[in-house]
Amino acid sequence: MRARFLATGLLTAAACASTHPLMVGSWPVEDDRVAARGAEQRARQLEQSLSEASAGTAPPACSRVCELVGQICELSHDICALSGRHPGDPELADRCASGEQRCRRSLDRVPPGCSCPPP
Amino acid sequence: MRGSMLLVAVALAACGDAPARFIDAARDAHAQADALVRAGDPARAARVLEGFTARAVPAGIAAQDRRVVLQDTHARLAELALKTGNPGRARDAATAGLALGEGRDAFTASLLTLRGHAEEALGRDVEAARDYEAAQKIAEALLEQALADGGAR
Repeated sequence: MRARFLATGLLTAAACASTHPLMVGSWPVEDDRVAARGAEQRARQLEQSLSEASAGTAPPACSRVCELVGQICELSHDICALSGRHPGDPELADRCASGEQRCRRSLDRVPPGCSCPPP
Repeated sequence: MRGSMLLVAVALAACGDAPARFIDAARDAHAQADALVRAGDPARAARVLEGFTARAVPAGIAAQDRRVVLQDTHARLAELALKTGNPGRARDAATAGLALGEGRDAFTASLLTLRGHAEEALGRDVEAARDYEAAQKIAEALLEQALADGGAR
């Protein structure tokens, strides 16, 4: 997956976004799931801010949207390629159908203001 | 990815109070790996990264920060293993990364995708499809979130 740049952005944002940003010391034990949700939300917000801060000519949200749509459709392609190798496998056929549905659905969700490259 | 650890280090430095040893070690490991890959020695690059993942994480680092730094390293290990024709090792690296915790985030999606590629290379197509689908579901959730956060502006 071409998630490397996204991962880098999230990683960078998450680092700054931590409730207790890498403080040395002891903190009360907290529910990791709650912490993760909070950190992810903050990471998204900060990633967006970072994108805006370094914005070029394209609207920053479109690049994110297009990257995710590209990933979704690429994975759909991968799943269906596997299904194609096993024509009699109903599980793979179902996953292929579901994957294609997700790809179509994501393409439909692309806002009119975004021009994503074809998958 | 090549510059990701540097970016992280810069970001953490900007945040202040960074656990310098952990981040410095990560940055150094990735920089060394970069150099070794460029020098045509990916096996040694992998050993450097494995060495970093085997190190004890200093106390006081938030669980989420620990997870993402280590998962990023495991993902890179998996990627290196795939590129050097070691799908079994790639699968193990991705699985080790996922064992640190799965979330609806790019780190988990990346590891699932890499493991899917490894499974596929090992001829385990059903397992590969499962991983691809799991990664796809996360990407779809991230898309929903991106749209909810502002969509096209």
